[in-house]
Amino acid sequence: MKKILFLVLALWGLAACGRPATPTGVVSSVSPAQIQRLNFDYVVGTPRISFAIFDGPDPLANVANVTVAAQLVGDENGQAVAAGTAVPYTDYEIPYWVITPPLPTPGIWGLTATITLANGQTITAPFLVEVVAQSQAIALGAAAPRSQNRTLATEPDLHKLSSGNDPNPAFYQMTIADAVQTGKPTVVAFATPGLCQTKWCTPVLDSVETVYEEVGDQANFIHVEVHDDFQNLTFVPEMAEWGLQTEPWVYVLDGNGRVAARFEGPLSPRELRLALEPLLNNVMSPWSRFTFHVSASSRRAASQVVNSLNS
Amino acid sequence: MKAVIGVWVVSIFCLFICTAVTHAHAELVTAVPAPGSIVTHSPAEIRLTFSEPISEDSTILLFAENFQPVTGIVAQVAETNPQMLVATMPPLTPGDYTVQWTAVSTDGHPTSGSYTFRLARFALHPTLLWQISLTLLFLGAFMILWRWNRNR
Repeated sequence: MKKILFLVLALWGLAACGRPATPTGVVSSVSPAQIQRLNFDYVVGTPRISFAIFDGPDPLANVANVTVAAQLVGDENGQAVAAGTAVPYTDYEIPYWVITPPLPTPGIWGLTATITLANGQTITAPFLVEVVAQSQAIALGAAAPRSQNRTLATEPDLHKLSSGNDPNPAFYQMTIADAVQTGKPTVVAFATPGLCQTKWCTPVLDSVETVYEEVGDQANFIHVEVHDDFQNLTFVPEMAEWGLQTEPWVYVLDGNGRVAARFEGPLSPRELRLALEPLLNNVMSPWSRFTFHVSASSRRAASQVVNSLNS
Repeated sequence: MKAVIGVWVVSIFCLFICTAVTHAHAELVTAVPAPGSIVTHSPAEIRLTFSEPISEDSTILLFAENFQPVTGIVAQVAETNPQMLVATMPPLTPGDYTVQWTAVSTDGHPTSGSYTFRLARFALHPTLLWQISLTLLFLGAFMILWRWNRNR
């Protein structure tokens, strides 16, 4: 009898010693989702908040739907004042989501993303943004600075106008000042494609190029390389004119030279297209009743006719 | 031959120049406490390791449930590892916490993210669970042997 009891105790002791203790006291996982904010400039109103969702080093897979609720940090009620569904953009190197919630006051806002996976599982991921009363960057609705950026006319060496390996000469044909005089929408991309070689910024100019190939000369497309010295990395004067301290930024200007949309950080072709398309229809205003139902290629052809008549 | 050497020299020069000025974004590589983890003891510090060296402008903020800020957190770049950001923390009460980090790479590029961990009120530790299971198993075996011995 004593032998059996001894055996049980000995085995119990061995079992206790044989299992390594978990060093940090971690017992299981909750929600591994991590939110990575992709932009930093949030102004009161309906700021564009873009974010990616990660599970470890990789984007979270099989996301079916993301809703986001916002509440002001420090608010006594602690109630969400805004909620909505985030728009997914999967046509970028990293899939990302965008929300434009109504955030009426400056301060720190807490956002809770509720992520529904394809299998129906729901997980939450909170994150925070700081909303300011005014942005240093040129704001929505403001008149674009009439910048005299460098073009092939003033700098014939294309590789001094862009740090990219294979710059598209079409992006260096006109100044912003000239572009806004044409009456067409203008896309201005502030980027340094050869010097910021990460998944966050390199594909931005590719997105602009994709939309340029679709839209053609219905709109002006300008790339402003943010550095005028690729060794000392000094900013071109246009960065200060536009109040920019980071890159990349893409601005979409309407035919009157006012800011219709602005994008800080990653930008997919689809998101740029969605901002530009309404302005293209405005360009075609005499034809709008007809172009509403016709294809993009037909609109392009019609646009060429209008341009030829105007010229 | 001279042309080949010239090309090599220019290529190596360009390689050095290009790599010297390329921008970087510091990305989170490891985190303690880990994203989504449940810890049983209030962590004394948060340790975040990034893919690039980071500057002292980098920050860690901690929020309790309902986005209540946790005060008394001081974050600084680890002396021994320029890619690690360490924040000492006051004792925490059980609940869910959101870590909001901003890493500024040495060339000034910021990245920012957040994740959640939970400080459990009570958690059954895997080792303890293993010990209890084995104990019950062997107690059962002991009872069977004891009854079998008594009936014999």
